[in-house]
Amino acid sequence: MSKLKILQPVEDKQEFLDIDEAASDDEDEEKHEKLLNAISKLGNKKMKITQRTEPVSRINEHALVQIGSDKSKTNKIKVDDLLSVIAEKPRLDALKKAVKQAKSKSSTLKAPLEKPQALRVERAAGYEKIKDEVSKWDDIVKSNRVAEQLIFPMNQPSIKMHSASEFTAKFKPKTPLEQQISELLRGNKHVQAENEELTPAEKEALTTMSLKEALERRRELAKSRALQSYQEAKARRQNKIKSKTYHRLLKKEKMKNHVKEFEALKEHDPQRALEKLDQLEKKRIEERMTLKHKGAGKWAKLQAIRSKYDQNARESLADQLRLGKEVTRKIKKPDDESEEDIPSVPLEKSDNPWLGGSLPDSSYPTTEITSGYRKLWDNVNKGKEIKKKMNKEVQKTAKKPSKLKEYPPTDENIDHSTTVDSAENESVASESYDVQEEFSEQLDEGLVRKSTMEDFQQTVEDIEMKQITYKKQSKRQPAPKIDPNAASVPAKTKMASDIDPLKFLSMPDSVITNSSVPVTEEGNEEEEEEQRRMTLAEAFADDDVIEQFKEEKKRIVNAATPKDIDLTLPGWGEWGGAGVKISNRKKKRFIIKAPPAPKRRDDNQGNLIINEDKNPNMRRQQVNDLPFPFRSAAAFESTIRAPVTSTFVPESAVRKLTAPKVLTKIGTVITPMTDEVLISAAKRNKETEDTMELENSKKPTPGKYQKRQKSQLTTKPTKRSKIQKNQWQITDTSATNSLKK
Amino acid sequence: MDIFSGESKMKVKVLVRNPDDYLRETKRDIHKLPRNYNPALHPLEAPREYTRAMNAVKLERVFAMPFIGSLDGHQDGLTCLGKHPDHLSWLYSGACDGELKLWDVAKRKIVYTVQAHDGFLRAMAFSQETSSLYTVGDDKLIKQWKTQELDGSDLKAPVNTIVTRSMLTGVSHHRSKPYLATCGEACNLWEQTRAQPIKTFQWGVDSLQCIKFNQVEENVITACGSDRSIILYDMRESAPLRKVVLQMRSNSLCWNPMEAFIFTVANEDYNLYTFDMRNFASPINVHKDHVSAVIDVDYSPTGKEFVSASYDKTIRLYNSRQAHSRDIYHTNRMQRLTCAAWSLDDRFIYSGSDEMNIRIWKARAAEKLGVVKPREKTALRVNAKLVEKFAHHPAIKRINRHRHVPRHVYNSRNELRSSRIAARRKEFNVRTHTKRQLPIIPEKAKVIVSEQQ
Repeated sequence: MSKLKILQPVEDKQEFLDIDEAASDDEDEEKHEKLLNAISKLGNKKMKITQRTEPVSRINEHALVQIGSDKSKTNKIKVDDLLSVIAEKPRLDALKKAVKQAKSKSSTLKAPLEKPQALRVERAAGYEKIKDEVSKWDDIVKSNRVAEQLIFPMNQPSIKMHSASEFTAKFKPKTPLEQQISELLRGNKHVQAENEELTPAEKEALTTMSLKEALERRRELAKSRALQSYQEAKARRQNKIKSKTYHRLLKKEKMKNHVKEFEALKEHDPQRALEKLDQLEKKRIEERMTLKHKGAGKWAKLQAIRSKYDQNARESLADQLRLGKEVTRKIKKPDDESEEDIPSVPLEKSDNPWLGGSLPDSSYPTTEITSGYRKLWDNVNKGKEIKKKMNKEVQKTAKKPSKLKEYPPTDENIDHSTTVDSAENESVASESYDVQEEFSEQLDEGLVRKSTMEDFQQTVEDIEMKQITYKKQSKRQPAPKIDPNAASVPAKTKMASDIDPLKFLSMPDSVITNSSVPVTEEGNEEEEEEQRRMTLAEAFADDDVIEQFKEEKKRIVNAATPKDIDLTLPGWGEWGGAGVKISNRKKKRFIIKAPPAPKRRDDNQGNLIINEDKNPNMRRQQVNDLPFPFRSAAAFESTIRAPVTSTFVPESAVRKLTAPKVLTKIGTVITPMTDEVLISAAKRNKETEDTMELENSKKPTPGKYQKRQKSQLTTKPTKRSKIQKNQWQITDTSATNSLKK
Repeated sequence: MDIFSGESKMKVKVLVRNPDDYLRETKRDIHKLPRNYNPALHPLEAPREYTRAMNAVKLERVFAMPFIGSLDGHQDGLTCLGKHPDHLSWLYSGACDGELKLWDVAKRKIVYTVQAHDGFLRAMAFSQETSSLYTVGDDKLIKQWKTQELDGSDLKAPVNTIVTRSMLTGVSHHRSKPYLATCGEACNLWEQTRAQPIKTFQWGVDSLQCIKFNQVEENVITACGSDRSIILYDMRESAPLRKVVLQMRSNSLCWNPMEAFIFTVANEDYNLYTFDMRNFASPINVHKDHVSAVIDVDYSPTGKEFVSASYDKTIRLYNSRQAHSRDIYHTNRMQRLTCAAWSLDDRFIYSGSDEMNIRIWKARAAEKLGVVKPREKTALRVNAKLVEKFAHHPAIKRINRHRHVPRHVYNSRNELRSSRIAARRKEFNVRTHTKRQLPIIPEKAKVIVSEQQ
């Protein structure tokens, strides 16, 4: 009964009533007395205490005290009274002590909060709790909000093919029979492994040999081993032989063998013979590339020194040179006729024996060689001297920074070889030489010492003048055709007298660099340029762009000028027909004259059309403000530029681009989100973690793993950027511009 | 002939084409169209797509015919609609005369009619576990009905009837457990098998008009009170959790079925407010556009949109995160709306109104209802994408957003707009002509009168 009452929500007011009623039933007198007491105590402002006589569902907070408590304050039983009773029994001393201790430590509890306050605290706590609880959905909600595509209903069971091996992997033997069988099967040779045709036992059976076979095989092996050792011993012996003749003979033999082999191959296997030839050729080429027979080696130099006195040395040197020449001779192929006939060895008439050309005069090589040798030594000595002098000069000129680059004035002392070189340069780069000379004046005048500022000033001015004149010259040279000033050149005007100079576009003069690049190259470039221009001119010979532009401008200007309005009706009021003139009277009356055209902004601008009238229709189609989710106009424009229809992008791309954000299935109930989403997400996370752990365990070096992860991380964005790039590529500025206009 | 015989052979280059590249295998195949997607070859991509977008948006408007049909049969104005959680075509409706009807929406026919309550049938709720329907009425009764029979014969008599002490205005069922929450004078929590409420939540003396269980975080309940308040409860706690008082009374509320902490209330002040239950200081979104009190609101099962039914005789569809409606539905004969529901397959909307009719609408006005073949589907998707892409261009935006509205809606909208402008102007004037700095309160926060705990 009491339980039921507790379950029932009873409001405070009712409760009060209940209590009052109950009281009235039982103790009228007592109640009356209480009332009197209460009234008498009203002056003291003490709380009126309601009293309880019967168990009710809720205990009044004001009625904690027993009825009649105020009456029997003196009669109150205390703990000490109870303990005094106990004291007679000695075995309860411990209890007495404990009570005493508790009494000394205990303090009164604080009074409970007022009901509204307590409720408020409870509510606040509850709210915080539920807030936390609900926040677990945050991630999933956010991810769903930003998802590219959501497919409802969510949490569809995933369709996955389970392979037999996966299924069997899960199987665990439970019954003793199963366990026995599994033990038998596990590690047994007769169990076939996956992706293999034969069981281990079968393989073994296949590979095993009979006794006879095994013996034979052993014999063979022993034989071959013995042969090998013999060969090794022989080779070692032969290697020890120092005799040159022996080696020469050996070489010859080898060569012979080679030739024989080659001949044999020629007959039987021309393909392989060709290959052999190729190999030989390759060897020769390699030889050509090296400096082996060119006399640059240590041995050759020594021989050269010795050759003065030693006939043998002379001969060997000559031999060597001949060999080198033979090797380096360019073999003329019969089929390539396009190449010019170049003498196989460029024979230069110089005293240097290493430069070749000594072959025809090999009859008297001694003098030649010795003279060359002496010269070389002379050269070396002179070079040393020059170096010394230069060092001195540098020390002298250190005070004059402007002349630091000066060439040493002892030019004449340097031997012929260098002068020859310079002469060669002259012949090759004659044009550039002029220029260099002119510019080198800035440096060359250093022999006369400059003392005053005026001197310096003048030189600078001179140089500038020269530079300017040079520039003018160079300007005229490369672009004579387009330069309108070129009309002054008489020859040019003769050649193209019928060309209107105004019809040319005035192009900025092509910049000539006065750099140190030799003019010969520039000349080449110029030629190329010329050629390119010619081909371009040929290609666009037919379309006259300038003329077209002018026509277009004329057309636009004409369209903009207001026209006379002719309202005359032929034959109205006079004779009509072909060839009849309209009378002046009619003209005056019926032709409305147009006002003069307003001045155009591009009137005197030449090749320029300014569209003065805005197109209001276009304006209406344009986007005024930057739409909300975009932060920059460029981003918005890029989305507009990226096409989505199949005319401009492949079908698969269209399918991806136009995928709807929300997909639902027809006739399927979409249930509200469930906890499973969270669980499955957690599961997925856990699974990924597991796999990562596995990978970790496989790869003992964590560094490697990290690297790999990094690379993965980096690869992802690149992919994205690629896509973006594509988008940018696809985009087209002119289209948007036209849209904007 | 010399070409082949003579020594001087002339090379003739021939274009080689593999017929597989341009011939189709069968007659039913689509013709292969070799295309060069080099953007340089398509300088007018954007203008051409713009034209296509324009055509698409126009076509969409041409095909926008949302009204499918009406379910006629009630003898009095409708009060509530109930979607069966398992059967898409079963729709339950309650009327002011206490009648409960089961409709077959696909056939647009009444399956069963029963006099469920004396007086109004106020609200209904489904229990999926027991496949039963709970209704509450003005006769202070909670009735439980079975909803299993296809012919609706189990509506003949209620399975269980609970007599309560006070008026009941709303009912909602726990998603998975057999608990029922009713509202009226107080919020009561009932267990299926008991005749007495297991819990009673009371905060203040005002009555509640709407109560809803959260379908995701299943123990949370929210109710709207007639003291303009929204109260949050946890079923497990002994006291309500929080109360927020708005400027005007909220008529109805609905939890987002996909976002556990989001709910939307339909308010008397013509607006709807979307709240995050963790922050009652201000609503996260104010949904405007109605020109009269909003009576009912229901979320689409995807949680992306909701429908609102208003006293201004219109239904509006909102994106749940946008302030203005994406569509408005109305017909000449449709009177004050009392309830609206979004079908559980996200394709239809049901609305019940004062003039005793239930109307069925498409959730997306221009959607084709029949079979859509793959090519048509891709074409529709491309069109939708194009419209989305160029949605900010004024011409397309104008067509896309243009709706014909009834005269009274049009006029009152203008009226409201002018009053809003006037209020803003006045506020500006007050601000500029008072010395004291007035606190700037964001528009959203103005709605909240107080948050109590």
